[in-house]
Amino acid sequence: MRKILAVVLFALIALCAMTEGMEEQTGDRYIRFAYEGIDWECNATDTWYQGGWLLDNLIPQFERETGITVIVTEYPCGKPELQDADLKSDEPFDVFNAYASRISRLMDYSVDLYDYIPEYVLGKFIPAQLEQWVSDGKLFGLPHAGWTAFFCVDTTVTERVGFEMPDNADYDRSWSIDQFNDLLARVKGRGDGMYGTYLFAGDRNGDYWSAYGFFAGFGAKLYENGRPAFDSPEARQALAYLKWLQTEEHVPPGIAGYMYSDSFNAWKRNAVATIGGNLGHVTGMKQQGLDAEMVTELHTTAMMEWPSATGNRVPIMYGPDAVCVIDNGDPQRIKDAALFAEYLSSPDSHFARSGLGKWSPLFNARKPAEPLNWWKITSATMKSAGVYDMGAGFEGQTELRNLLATMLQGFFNDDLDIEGAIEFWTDGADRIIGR
Amino acid sequence: MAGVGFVFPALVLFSVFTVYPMFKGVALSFYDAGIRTITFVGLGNYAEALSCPVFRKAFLNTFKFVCVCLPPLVVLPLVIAAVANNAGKRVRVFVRFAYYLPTLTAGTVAAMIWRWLFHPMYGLINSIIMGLGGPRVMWLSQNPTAMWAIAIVMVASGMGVSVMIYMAAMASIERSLYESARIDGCGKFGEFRHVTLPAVLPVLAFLVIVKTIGTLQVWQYVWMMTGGGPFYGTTTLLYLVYEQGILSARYGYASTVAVILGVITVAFAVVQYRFFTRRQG
Repeated sequence: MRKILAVVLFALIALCAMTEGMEEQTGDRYIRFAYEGIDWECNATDTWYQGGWLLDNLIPQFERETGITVIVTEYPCGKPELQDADLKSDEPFDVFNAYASRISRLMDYSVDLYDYIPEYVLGKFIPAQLEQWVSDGKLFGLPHAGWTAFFCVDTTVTERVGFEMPDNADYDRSWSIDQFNDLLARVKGRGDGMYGTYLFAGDRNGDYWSAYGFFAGFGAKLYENGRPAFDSPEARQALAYLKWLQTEEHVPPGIAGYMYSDSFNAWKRNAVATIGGNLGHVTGMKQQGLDAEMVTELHTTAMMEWPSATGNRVPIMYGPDAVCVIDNGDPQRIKDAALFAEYLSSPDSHFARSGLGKWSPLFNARKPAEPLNWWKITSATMKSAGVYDMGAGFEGQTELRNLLATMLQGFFNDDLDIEGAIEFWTDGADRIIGR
Repeated sequence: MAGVGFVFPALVLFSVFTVYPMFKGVALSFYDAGIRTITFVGLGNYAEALSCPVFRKAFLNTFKFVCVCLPPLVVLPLVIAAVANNAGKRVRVFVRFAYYLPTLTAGTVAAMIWRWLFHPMYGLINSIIMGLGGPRVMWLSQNPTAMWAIAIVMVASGMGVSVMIYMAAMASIERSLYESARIDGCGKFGEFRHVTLPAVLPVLAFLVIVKTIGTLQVWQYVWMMTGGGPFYGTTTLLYLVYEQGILSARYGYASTVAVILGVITVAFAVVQYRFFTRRQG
């Protein structure tokens, strides 16, 4: 027993000594960098993290070039309370990289990056994309990849119903509402348990891309000038269309309770012709198809243009991740941290992040290498149509996203009619934003 | 003195991880507390809670869960244990095993499995119902079926321990009492009513209190299966605490909801305890 105790004590002392040694290795100048870890929800399943680009390439490069040591903390995904606890501590992190809503949550504690990031760097961003991260004139975050709304089309289903998909080799947006409605009618007409499209509102994590796409397609804005803006003719049109999809049974029954993951299941079964989602969703669909050994070729297309929509804005886009610099009161540390944030949101970082095809880089400039088609379309559309405001600039963004889900649930279950849904959303969003 | 020494470590842990957070939570409920900011608002959070429709809905839902889940969580295991207790040894062993096994499954795993079982399109439960000519039930997509579905999962997952406890209590009842009852003309039901039930009443009281507290704190099945929906149909007070505190960093308001839930829980426990102690007295 004594021997065991002696070994344990010795191990502890050795561990302490090693830790002390590690502390000594850090230079005079250091910053603490934290990010949310590997998880589907936290979007960290790409080369940026797992391929080692961040830890093996970017951080060593930054340390080499600046002489500033980066101390890294990885948080588990979806545990913001741990980040909060660290923020209250004596040694909070200086730079934080996470999903968009987690960055918005910290906007009060972030420095104004307009004061730290050189203008020529900010000038590289597509302006509409950067504007999402401004609150009360303060740039509280720098995004480094974005999701874009897309349709996934199951060509097995479209072929089965004799529908020819528009040629979208360049995502030319030739996919119109009339073509979409034609597809819905054909699928329904076949009457063998397939559905024209898919909606889901059951999740409380903000993944309502199926609805976002239709809202934006109709030009129904959720926010404008920092206020809720859903009380509009376009919103009424969009909601009426969603209700029509439901009552005409173009979507499966039970959509009020479906979650993001349910759409994958429907996809694997060739049960739906189209699923509105984003690039990440498309990648997931591809993987699900492979897992299910589907011979189907996934056909992706930008959201259709809606001739009847006033705004006619293609719904682009949101997050997913951004970086912020925390105001910890030490001017030098803030400066160093801002420099690191600049590295994190550099063009190289964007392209590394986008390498897997889930996200779009947010820069005007194109990498010299052959750009992928969806880069072209997303980039071009953002420049021409702007960015659909999904609330990244609100501190209570998580609550706002959950409120939208709740509104959709009430709407799909007939607890709310169109006017009731608009009133519910507007009142709730007003309360959250005005708090 | 040696006793104090033995108790001291546990006392320290209890104080640090239970007593201190409890008082801190009560204090925090009077503040508008964010991540790094804190402002005294007096009873502001309580006023907000009482005027908030979501809080009222969560409050009602929590009570509905107790009303729906408590009777089966306490009575069904009693019946199962009584039946098993009268059966042979092999049946008793099987019942113990069969009912305890689900409690070993992690709640999140159980929730995921049940979510699939309740799926309106591909779920086993709807397949059976529709196979028998019944309608398609939107278990987790509509109200009030979403609450019923979660209640079913809670009862199915929570019965095992109760069955075990009842069976242990019944095993300790003197056989001679049953013989006396039979001599006095009691049938099986009479034996249960006049011998078994009075003997296990303290256990029943304990389970009522424990299960009430557990049901008041329902959270994980809600989180995993419905996310509080549809349209707040399954949002409970503890879920609201999580949503407001952890997701939205409104620590003050979340503490207020937690304090209210704590007060309700204590009130329930005290009333139930007095009720049962009087009956036993």
